[in-house]
Amino acid sequence: MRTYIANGWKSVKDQFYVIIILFLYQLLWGYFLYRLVESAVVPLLMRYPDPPPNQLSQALYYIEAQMGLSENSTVHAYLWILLGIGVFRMLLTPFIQAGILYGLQQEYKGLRGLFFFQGMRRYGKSIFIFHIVEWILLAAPAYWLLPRLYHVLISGLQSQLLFLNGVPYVVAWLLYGYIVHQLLLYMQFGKISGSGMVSSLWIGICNSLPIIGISICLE
Amino acid sequence: MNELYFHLYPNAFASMETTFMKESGGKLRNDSMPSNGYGSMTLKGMKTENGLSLMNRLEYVQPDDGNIKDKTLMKVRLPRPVKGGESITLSMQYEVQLPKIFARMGTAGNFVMAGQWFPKISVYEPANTRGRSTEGWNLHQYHGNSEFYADFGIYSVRIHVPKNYTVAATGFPVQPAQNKNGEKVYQFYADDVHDFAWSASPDFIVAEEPFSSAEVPGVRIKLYLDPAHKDLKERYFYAAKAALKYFSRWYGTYPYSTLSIVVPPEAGNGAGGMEYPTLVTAFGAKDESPGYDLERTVIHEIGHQYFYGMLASNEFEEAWLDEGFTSYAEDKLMEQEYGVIPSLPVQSTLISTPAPLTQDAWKYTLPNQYALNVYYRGKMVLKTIEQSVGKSTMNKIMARYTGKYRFGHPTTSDFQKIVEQATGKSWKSYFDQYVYGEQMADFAVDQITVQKKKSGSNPLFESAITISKNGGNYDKIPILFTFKDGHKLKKIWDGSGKSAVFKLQYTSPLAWAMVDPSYNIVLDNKHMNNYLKADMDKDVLFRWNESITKLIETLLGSLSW
Repeated sequence: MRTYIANGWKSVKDQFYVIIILFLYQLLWGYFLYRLVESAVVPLLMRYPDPPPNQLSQALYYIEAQMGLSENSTVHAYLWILLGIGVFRMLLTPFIQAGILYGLQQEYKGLRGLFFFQGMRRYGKSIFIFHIVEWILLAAPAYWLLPRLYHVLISGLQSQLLFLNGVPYVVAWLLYGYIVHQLLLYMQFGKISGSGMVSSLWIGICNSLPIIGISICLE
Repeated sequence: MNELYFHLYPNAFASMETTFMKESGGKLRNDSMPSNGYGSMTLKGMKTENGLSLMNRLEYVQPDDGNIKDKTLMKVRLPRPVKGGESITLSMQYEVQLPKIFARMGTAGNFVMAGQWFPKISVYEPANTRGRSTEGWNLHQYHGNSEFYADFGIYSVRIHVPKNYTVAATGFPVQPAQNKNGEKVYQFYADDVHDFAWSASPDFIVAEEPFSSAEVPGVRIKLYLDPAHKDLKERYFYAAKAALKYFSRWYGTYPYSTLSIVVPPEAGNGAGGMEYPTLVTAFGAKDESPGYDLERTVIHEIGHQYFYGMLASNEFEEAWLDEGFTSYAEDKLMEQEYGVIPSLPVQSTLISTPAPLTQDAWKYTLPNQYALNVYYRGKMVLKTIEQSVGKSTMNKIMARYTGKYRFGHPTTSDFQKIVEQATGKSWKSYFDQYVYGEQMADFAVDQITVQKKKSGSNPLFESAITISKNGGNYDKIPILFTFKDGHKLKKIWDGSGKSAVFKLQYTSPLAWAMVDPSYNIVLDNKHMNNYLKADMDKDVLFRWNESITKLIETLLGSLSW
C-alpha cells in the first residue's frame, strides 16, 4: 500500500506541469467567483438593517429578499451567470479528466512526455459519456429529495433549527454521489488503460476500504 | 331599443373552454373546481306578453374575447323596437344545473348557494352614466377575475325546497314558509337591490336578532350557521352589529329591513366571503375557534352593502371601487372594534406587479395581480389620501361620496371630483400616477460618501447622502440620519426632482441613513432600499464574501473541475 501511495506522489511530481495548469485554472475561477460574489453580497449587506431601526425592518428585508429570488431581474442575472459557469465547467471536466487519466496511464507504461492534451483529444469524448451517466445518476435522487428539501427550506426560514431536518437527506445524497463517482472513476481507468471496465470496477470494489481511507486522508 | 342582453352566468361552468374556466384554470382564490363540477343554464322558453316566442331570436355574444365557446352573455333581438317611455315584459323558462362550489355559486353536498342563478339583464346606461357620451349597453362576459354589474330593481321570488330545508335569501319573506304537497315554499320580496341570491341547506342552524341604533332604524340580523360554528353565534352577531352601526354612521343608513349571514360548510368554502344585496356569506366553517378572519370576513362583506350594494359600481371595469373601498372600511372598523392593525408595509411589499386600478378585472393576468391591486393597492391609495388630508376631511370625503352616489353607479372620476371639492385642490397628478396609472412609491438611499474635513481633537466629517425617487411622487419624505456616535438627525425631503443630495457636517461620520423610518409611506413597496449603511467592517465583508465563494466553489467542485 505504501508503495502505491509513494508512486502516486511520484506521478504527481512527474506530471507537475499539469498541476500548474490546473492551479492556474482554479485560481482564475476562484478570483472570478470572488469578484462576482463580492459584487452581489456587499450591496445586500450594506442594506441589512442591523441593528434594526424599526421592528419591521428585518422582517421586511427577508420578505423582500425571498420575493427577489423569484421576481428580481438582477438576482436572476446572477443565478444565470452561476448556472452558466456551472454548465461550462461541467462540460470542460470530462476533457480535463481524460487528460489526467491518460497522462497517468502513459506514465505507468514508463513513457515520458506531455500527454495531458493528447489525452484530452483522444479520450475526451468517451469520458464525456461517462460523465453524462454520472450526472444522470447523481441527479436521479433529486426527484424524491427536492420536494422534501424544499419543504425543509421553507420551514427553516421561520425557525432556523428546522434546517437540521434536511441534513440526513443531504448527507445521504453526498454519500451516494461519492460512491457513484468512485465506481465510475474505476470504470474510466479501465476504459483508458484498455484492460476493460468491468475488471477495473471489480478492482475498485475489492479495494474500496483503502480507497476510502486515502480519500479521507487527502481531504 | 332593438335588443336586450342577459347574463347567463352559470354557463361559465359549462366546460373547460369557457372564458371563465380558461382564465381561472378552474381555480378561484384557494378553491379548485371539484371533479366533474360543471354547471350551466339552459333557456327553455322566452315569450313576450302576447305569447310570441323569442327563442329563434337569441344569440350568444362575446364582446370581450370573441371566444365562441363562451355562452355567458346572450342577445335577444326584439320583434319590434321599444321606444323611450315604453316597456316590455318577458317571461322565461330556464333550467340551471348548479356547478359544484369553488367559485361563489353552486352546491356542496346538500348545501346550495344560488347566486347568479337567473338570466340577469345587462345594464343599459343612458348618456352621462359613468361618463359615457352616448347611451348604450354595458356588456361583458363572465371572467375568471371579475364580479358583476347590474341595475337596481324589484324582486319577488318564490322558492320551493324539500321540507327539511331552510332558505336564506335577499330581501324579506312576505309570509312564513308554507308546506305544500310535501314541499316547503318561501316567498321573498326585495326592492332597491341589483341582485337576488338565496342559499338553502337542511343543516342550517338559524338565529335571529333585531338591531337598531341611532343610525339604523331597525334591522333583523339573520344568521344561517353551518353546525360546525353553532357556538360562534355571538361573534357573528357582534361583528354584524358593529358593521351595521358604524358603516351606517360613516357611509349612510343601512336602508333594508334584513341582513342575512350565511356560514357555508367547509366544503362550500368557495361560496364563502361573498356579498349579495342584504345577504352575505362568511368563509366556510372549518375551524372551531377561528381567528379574527371570521370577524374580518363578516365586516368586509357587510361593507360591500355600501361599496357594491348601494354604490353599484361596475365591477367588471373598476373593481377597486368595491374591493379597495371595502377593504379600507374593513381595516378601519377592525382597528376600532378589535384593535387589529394591518401591517401595511408587509402588504405593500407583496404588490410586485402594480397595475392601473381602472383596468378591466380580467386584464390582471399575473398571479394574485387582481387581488393585490384592487384590494391592497386600492385601499392604500385611499389610506394615502387620508394621511394627506387628515382623518376628519377623509371622513367627510367618504360621507359625501357615499351620500351623493347612494343607489347610483359611481366611477373613479366621480370619487376624484369629491376629493377635489372637499380639499379645494387638484388631485389629477395623484390619480394619474396611482389610480389610472400603475405607480407605487419607491424612495431609496442610493449612496453615502463620508469625507474627513478636519482631524485632531475636534474632528469634522462631511457625509453626503443621495436619496432618489424611483416611483411616483410623494409630498414629504422623512429621512433619518444616524451617526457613529449615536447622534440622530431627522430631515424632510420635499420630493421634488428625481433625487436629492444631503450634505451633513458633524463631529462623527455617518453610520447609516434611512428613508421613511416609520414606514408611513404606505404605497412604498420596496423597503430594502430605504436603508443604507455608510460602510462596513472590511473583515466582516471579507468573511462573508469568502464563505459564500467557498460554498459555491465547493458545490461547483463537487460536480466539475
